[in-house]
Amino acid sequence: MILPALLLIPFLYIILAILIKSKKVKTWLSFAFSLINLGFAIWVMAQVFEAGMIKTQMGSWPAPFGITLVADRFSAFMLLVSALVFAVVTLYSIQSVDTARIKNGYFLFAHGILMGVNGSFLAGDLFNLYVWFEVMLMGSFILISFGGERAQLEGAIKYLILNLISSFFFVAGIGILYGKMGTLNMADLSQKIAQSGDVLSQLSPAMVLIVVGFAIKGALFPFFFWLPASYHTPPPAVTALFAGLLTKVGIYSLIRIYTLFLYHSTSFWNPVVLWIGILSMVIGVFSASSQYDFRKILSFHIISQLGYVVIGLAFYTVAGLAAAIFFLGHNMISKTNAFLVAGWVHRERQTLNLKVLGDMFKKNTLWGVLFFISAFSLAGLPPLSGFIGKYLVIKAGIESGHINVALVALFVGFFTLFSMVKIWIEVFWKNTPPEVEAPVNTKPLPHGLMISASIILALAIVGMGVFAGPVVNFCEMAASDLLNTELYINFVLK
Amino acid sequence: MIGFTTLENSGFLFNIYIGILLAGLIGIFVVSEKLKPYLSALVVLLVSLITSLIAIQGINSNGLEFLIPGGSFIGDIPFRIDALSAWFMLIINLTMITGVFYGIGYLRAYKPIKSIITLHWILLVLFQSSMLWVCMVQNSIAFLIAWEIMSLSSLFLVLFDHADSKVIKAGINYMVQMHLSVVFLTVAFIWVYFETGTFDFKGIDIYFGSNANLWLFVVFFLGFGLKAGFMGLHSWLPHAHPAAPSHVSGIMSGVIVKMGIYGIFRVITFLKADFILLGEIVLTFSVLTGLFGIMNAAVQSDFKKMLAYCTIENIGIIGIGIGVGLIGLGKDQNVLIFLGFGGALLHVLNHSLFKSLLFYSAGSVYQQTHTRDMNQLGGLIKKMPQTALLFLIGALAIGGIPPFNGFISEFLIYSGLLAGIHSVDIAQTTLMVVSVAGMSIIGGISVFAFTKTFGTIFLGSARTELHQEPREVSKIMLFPQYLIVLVMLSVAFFSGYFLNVILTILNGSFHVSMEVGNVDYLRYSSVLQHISLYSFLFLAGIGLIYFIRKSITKNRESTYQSTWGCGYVAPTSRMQYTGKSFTKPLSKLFNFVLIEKKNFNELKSNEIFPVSRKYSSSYLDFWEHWLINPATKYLDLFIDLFKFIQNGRIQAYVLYGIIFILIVFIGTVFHSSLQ
Amino acid sequence: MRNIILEKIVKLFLNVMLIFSVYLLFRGHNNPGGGFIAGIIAATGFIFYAIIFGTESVKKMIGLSSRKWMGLGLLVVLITAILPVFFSKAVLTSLWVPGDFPLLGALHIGTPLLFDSGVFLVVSGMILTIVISIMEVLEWN
Repeated sequence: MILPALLLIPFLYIILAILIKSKKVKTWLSFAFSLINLGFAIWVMAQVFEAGMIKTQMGSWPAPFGITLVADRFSAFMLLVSALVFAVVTLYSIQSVDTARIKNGYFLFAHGILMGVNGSFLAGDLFNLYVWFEVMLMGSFILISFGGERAQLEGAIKYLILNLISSFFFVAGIGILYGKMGTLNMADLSQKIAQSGDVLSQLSPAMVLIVVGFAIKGALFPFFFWLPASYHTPPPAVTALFAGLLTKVGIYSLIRIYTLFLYHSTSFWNPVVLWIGILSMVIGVFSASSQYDFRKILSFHIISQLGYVVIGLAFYTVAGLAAAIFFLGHNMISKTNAFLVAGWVHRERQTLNLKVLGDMFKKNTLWGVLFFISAFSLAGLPPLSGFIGKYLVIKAGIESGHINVALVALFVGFFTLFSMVKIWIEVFWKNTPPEVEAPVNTKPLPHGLMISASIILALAIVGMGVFAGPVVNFCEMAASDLLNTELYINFVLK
Repeated sequence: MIGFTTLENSGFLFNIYIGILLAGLIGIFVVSEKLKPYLSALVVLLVSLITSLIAIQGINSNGLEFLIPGGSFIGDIPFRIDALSAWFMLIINLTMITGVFYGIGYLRAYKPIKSIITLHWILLVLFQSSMLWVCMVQNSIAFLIAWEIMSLSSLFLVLFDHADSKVIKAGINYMVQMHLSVVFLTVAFIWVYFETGTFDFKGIDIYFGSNANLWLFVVFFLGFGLKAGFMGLHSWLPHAHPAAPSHVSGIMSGVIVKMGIYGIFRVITFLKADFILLGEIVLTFSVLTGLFGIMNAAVQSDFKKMLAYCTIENIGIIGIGIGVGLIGLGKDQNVLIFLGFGGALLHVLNHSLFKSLLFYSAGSVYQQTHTRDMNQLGGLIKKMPQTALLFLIGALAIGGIPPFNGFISEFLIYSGLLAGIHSVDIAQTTLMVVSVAGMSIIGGISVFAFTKTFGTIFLGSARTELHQEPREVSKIMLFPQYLIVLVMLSVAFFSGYFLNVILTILNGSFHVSMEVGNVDYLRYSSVLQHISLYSFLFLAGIGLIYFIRKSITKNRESTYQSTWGCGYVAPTSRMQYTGKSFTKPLSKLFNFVLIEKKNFNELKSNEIFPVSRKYSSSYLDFWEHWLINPATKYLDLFIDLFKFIQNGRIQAYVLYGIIFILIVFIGTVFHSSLQ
Repeated sequence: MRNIILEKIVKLFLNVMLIFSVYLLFRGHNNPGGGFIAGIIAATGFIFYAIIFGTESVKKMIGLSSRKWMGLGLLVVLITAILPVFFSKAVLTSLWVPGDFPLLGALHIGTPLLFDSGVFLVVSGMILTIVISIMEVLEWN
């Protein structure tokens, strides 16, 4: 019964936001609803922790025919982390987003994204997944194009076009699949494919289309170009939200279909996914090192970090998948927090060009420490969550015999560290270059809510690193559930 | 492996240590700005005290072992403190104590922001502990973590002077090279893990027992050598050391570089074969390192950079010792092992002493004059007599002149080389002969270089007007330096004691058994003690004569004249011999390594009234110029290629995607037709 | 210039469209029709009205702003979705009013109709919002 709640809560907020006029009420309601959503996510987590999987058949129609909402451990984990990220970003947005945007329904569309994200994590059939993708795309396109400066629109258009192409591929794949198999319920499809041995080779066009659709969504090589082109244009809070949620949904779906369908022909898909992962890691990190914009560097690092998740998937062992899941969760939190800090810098200095920034550590030590935590978590330094994630991925790689891949991952880690230290030095440590005029407002703008949002995430990062044991155990359970396809099929179709 | 004993007591001490460290870190964060330095010094002192106790136990009890729970990933982290670790831990603690007290005085001249000061002291405390951890842990993951914390904390210590873009650049350079080192180390550790399935250092032992030793050792050597600053791997040193505040450069040069040496020693303790080949490689490489370092040191005009190159030279000397010891291991000749490894270990201690002394006194000069260019200084002995004396002592020690400690270790290494000449095969004999020659050249140029540095900075008269009159530095800065001098003298005069400790280390860590108190080894110490004694008497004699003269002339009238200028009546300070002119013949001689870069405008003949011109010259680093700079340039070009891919044209992006899809489609077709 | 004939026709047209849309809405569960198409048709009527009489008069006629109309529709949809929960059934399960009515006999009334009505409101509200704002921006009146 609680699964639909995760969809209905954001939906209810959207209704209220349409009906209520007062800006203040809307703003705080938004935060309240994000907290309620977080509460439900925790509840789902608690239930899944006990039961392993829970499901709801919408409208009481039985599984292969009706709409099924399923939450296994992986979904529950993603739901929880995304709810946390969303709540924090909402808190942050209250102070950071300008009045005009809030008036025009910033929170409304943010909740639209949340609804889409929750839906995607819960969807039990491919078509629903597609619908939730579209919901997400709609909300995110409006958020990214709000304001309408030239650079922003340019980014928004790129974002829209490539994401529409992704949707097109996805829906085309779904069409082929439905024509061949007559069902779209994922469990049912998986079962049918498993039963009819060689049918998968006929389905490869559909699978290729779907994988490409997810790869575009997840900003993987060679489809990542929309991400760095668009993420540095909207207000920082929006970027933080996108960085935390959007691409991760693509990766989530990739893992889902890999463990349900693609594993039947690993000999083909495994190298493909592995190479996608490796190239994403390497190219992302190299491209980042030639950038000089705070958010662009972080954006490129999203790509390279998702590469880690994908290689974890490609190892296709319990350890590999557990590492992928853990890394996904870690990256959502750390990356969002890094963008939150970027948002503060942007608010203070109206620019994010590393060459003209400086002195920020002197301006506010705490923000400096917060950046330090998130950046060095991304770079994989102990005792932060990133270290655990990276360690798990590399260890899984060695254990599954992909020692070269593990070494590449390590190497990429060092480049990440390099980029992060570059940002730290350029933004926080060095003096503002003398030719740059000192910013006019010497008095710091209010940032109480912003900083408390960031502190929450920083605590989560440290907590995930220090108390990693239970989290990793959970991820391992989730991974073994994912590998045990029968379990999922039987549970959904029972 | 060596039989480790587990002592209850040391685990208890370790807990106290962790408690003090945490309380100290929080305390430094909390207390007022004025107290921060003193509290940090206190924490460093306490930590040093306790870890030194652990270390001494380690030496006495032939190795301690205790496990610290490291969570479910790493498992229990084994802390093993054998005599080798203990030796390095004691060196770290000593240098840190002097460094932190000197730092209190040194930083008084700065008035930076509170947050930066806090960060600095916290990192300094953390830095000490990370180095101690590096020496203690024997689990590769924990080791890499400690190693990384050490690199990063030292990086931020180097970056203290955030206003200077050169400092920032040096910091980035340092960071990149340190990570190259971590890459090598990680590759080596993963290699071991892949073959043996354990992250414990025992895995290295197992690996060496069952596989070829050469290549893994080379990878380790590259990783640790980057930290130690062997030639070709050294290029971070001449940038980072001048950039750091002086107490940090003293500590870095004194101990952080030695962590690389520690690593090399640690790997050697696991080696099982290929000793002679590795020894030859290390020996050759080290002689070249020493020569390269000292030649560059001689021509530099930035005195901190000069000291940095001098560190490279000393690493070369230590490396020569290691090479001799390795050959001794291969030939199973205890004398060579003792002289080689023993000399190297002792030189590690000695170098940490006199190099930190030199950096501190150079730092005092820099604090008072705000320049690192020795050609702008001069005559400081009159303004800063104590600093001058301390620098002189350091310079004498580093030149290997008795009765100071540098002499002892260099003598051991020389003896090792000489002993090697008549006790090994012809191939090694040749190498040893060449090495003796190389080392004597190193020693000679070293004296030459320090004569130049001391002469230019402290003697003569001031070459330029300084912004402020230099004065003698405060007592808190002088005190640690005198402390170092004291330790240096004790090494020189009680070398027998130190050699016994080193015998314990060699017995405990290197699969050899050498009787403590054996005449063969003590022979050297008695020789050394005699030399020390006589040279001290000689110095004392000079001092005595000086005092006698002074007491005689006290009541007499004496007149002072300006320096005789060959009949020229108005000598100016610009007529002095400069450091540059002093070393000109050397740089001419070795111009294939020392690349001089001159900045000036040619005087054109058609200019009737030439305008005023500037001339400056500096020396480029051979390796940086020919290897590292081109490499980074190509890397830059390579990275720019990725900019081309991300060109902002959406059509291109779609095209890439379509190409990919086509490839995958074709792949599926082939794949299914293959099946 | 006013065109009386056109005005009369449009008023009539609006009425016809509204009645037709309600017809479609009600037959929707078993025959072609339903909330979506009904909403579009109703909106078409209003759009024609707006073309002739101007957007202001349409706004006046609707009473609520078309935005609110949309919100209301969504609210109805939401209520239909959650309503089954109170009868301990899965979300979105159809509920039917049991038994016969006096005079009318057996009627097929249940939450699907409510749901369709919600959709009707949302769709017509949305189309109106879009068209009206476009007309206002272009100064159509």
